[in-house]
Amino acid sequence: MTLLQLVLKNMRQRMLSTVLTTLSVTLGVALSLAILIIDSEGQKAFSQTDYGYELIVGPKGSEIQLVLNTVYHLYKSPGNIPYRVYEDLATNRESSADGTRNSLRGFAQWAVPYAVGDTWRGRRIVGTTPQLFGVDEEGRRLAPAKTPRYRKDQAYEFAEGRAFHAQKFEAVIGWDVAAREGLKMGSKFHATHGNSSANEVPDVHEEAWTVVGILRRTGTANDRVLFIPLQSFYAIFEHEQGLEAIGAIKGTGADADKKESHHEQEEKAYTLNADGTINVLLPKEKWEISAILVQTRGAFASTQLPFVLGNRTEAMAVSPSVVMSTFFETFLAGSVKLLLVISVLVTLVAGMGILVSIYNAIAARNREIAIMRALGATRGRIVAIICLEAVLVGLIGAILGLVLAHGMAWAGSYYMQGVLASGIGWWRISRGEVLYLVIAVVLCGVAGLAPAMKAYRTDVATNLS
Amino acid sequence: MLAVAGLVKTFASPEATGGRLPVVQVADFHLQAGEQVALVGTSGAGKTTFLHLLAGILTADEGAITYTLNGAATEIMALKEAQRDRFRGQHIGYIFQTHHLLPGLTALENVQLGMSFTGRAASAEWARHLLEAVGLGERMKYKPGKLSVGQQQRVAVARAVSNRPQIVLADEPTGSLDAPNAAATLELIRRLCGETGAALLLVTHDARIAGRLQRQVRWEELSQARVPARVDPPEEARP
Repeated sequence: MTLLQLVLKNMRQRMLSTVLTTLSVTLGVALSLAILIIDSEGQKAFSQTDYGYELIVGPKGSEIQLVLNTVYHLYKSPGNIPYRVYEDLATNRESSADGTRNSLRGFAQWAVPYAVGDTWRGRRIVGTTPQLFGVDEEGRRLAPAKTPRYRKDQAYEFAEGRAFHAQKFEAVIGWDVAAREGLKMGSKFHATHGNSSANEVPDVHEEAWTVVGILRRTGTANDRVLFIPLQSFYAIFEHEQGLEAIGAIKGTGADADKKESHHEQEEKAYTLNADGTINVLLPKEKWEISAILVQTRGAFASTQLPFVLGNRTEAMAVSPSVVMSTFFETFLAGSVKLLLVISVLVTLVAGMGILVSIYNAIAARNREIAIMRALGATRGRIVAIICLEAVLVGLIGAILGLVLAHGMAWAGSYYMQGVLASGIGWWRISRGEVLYLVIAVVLCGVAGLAPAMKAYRTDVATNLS
Repeated sequence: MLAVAGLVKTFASPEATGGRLPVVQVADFHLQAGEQVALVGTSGAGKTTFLHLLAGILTADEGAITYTLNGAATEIMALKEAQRDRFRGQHIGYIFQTHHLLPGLTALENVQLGMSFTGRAASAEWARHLLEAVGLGERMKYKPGKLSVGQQQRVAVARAVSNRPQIVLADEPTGSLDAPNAAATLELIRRLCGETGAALLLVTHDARIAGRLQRQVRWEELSQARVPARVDPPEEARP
């Protein structure tokens, strides 16, 4: 009979105690590893450095709100900026005579506007330009350098269909919208203004958009988005300023009953051409957008643009990677570290559980130890048996804890996928995890030393009599 | 094969005088290879302590215990504790008054346990053969709790010879058995020792049991130590 067989027999003999002790180690390890996974994968998910663009230009105010709203499509938009900021950024320096100190021209390799405010079944609708999908307003493919990316070196690809027409009620939908909501090529949908709460009657626009393209999965929050042409967004634009502007054009002004008659006003916000294209009545100088994704022409431009915008009043430029890593460090990393300390304490308690469990068992096994000694087992052999038992409990607990932690990470990733359309690498085992597992098993072995020493001192003659 | 000379073992006196009480005082004792000897004496006189000394479980205050095996002499009192443990595991079989089987192991596993500390590979075949030899071929998978007292002691006998010892030390092996079982177990021990060529030193207080062995030695004649009443020596019995 080998040492291992003997230890396994001992463990089986004390099945309940062994199971409970192993369970306590499992829970301690699972908790710690889950926190380590959150720490490493959460940081990767929120502090990614592989954004497809360097800067986000948006209204002055909360940087984190701007990034969360633009990149992860979370929370309400922090506000709007004039459309001319985008026009300014998107214009080449060479084609402009504007040489003022605070001009934005010439900084951007490409820039794409985002206008948000409407939803469909709780999913965000983003007004943008066809350029986001690598084509110009006439549907011609853009040069690679001018093609926007959602991640570094990753541009949008179509699973079906094409980019929308810049002046039609057409839409391109993300993979998740098609997969989960059943929208197909040719499907029509109506946008809801804002994101109505449970006790609110949804304010559904009359216009219907037709799905003309379905994107391939990107593994980002964009999978949950419905993209529509920016001009169609203004065609149903009913925000205060828009109404006022339209009212001013028509000479009616925006009065108190504008809310009740907004559908009538919506109808007047655009005209429809015979070919299905729309003419937005709201003049361009009144257009507003929520944010602009900007890829600059180089390192100098990416550092200068925020300074230039800082001298202007209407917008600011932030780096999503810097904002998210600061956010993670400030708000999440501290909490994660605290949780990690707690989980390490839980593991220590589990280790103590092993110590107490085996120690008590040794008291009841003095005679067995004496018998083995009488049969020729050395003290060292007895110590090895006890420590091996502790290590085995630790090892089994660690493996089960690893499985449980990654199971929890999978569940968390599944949940995140639903919310952000972007999960975490729940299957990845980090170096930190491996190190923790080794330490946990060693700790369990050390916990076995105290009962092992008790067994070491077991008096053979006394316990045989 | 076994030679004992000037062996003295004392324990602290239970009285408050602080003196030492001799429990074993054996000037000379010999056992030949394959010989079967009964050591007869009253209970609590020091016989078990003597067996513990011979097995190297306890160390003596004075004297020498020398085993001559395969032409090589080993003085076990001169060995370190771990060496004594290994010597015991390889060359000595021990049968206790009560079976002292491990309750979590089956009969077969208990016999295999006896081979686990020999430094040689444990043979399941040999363990099965021994259990069949003691009439428990059908109950190898039984745990001790499912066996009768007599059957448990037979498993203990099989375990004692499982390491193919040169000597078997049996401490009142029939003490907890009724007369028929005692007789059967004694015959079993004798037979297995005979088959394996092991010498047997059997401690008993029963003259009838002793009479069945080749030679009888009276403890009171062998040891000069006189234990006045029951002494619980193990307080200081730590090797």
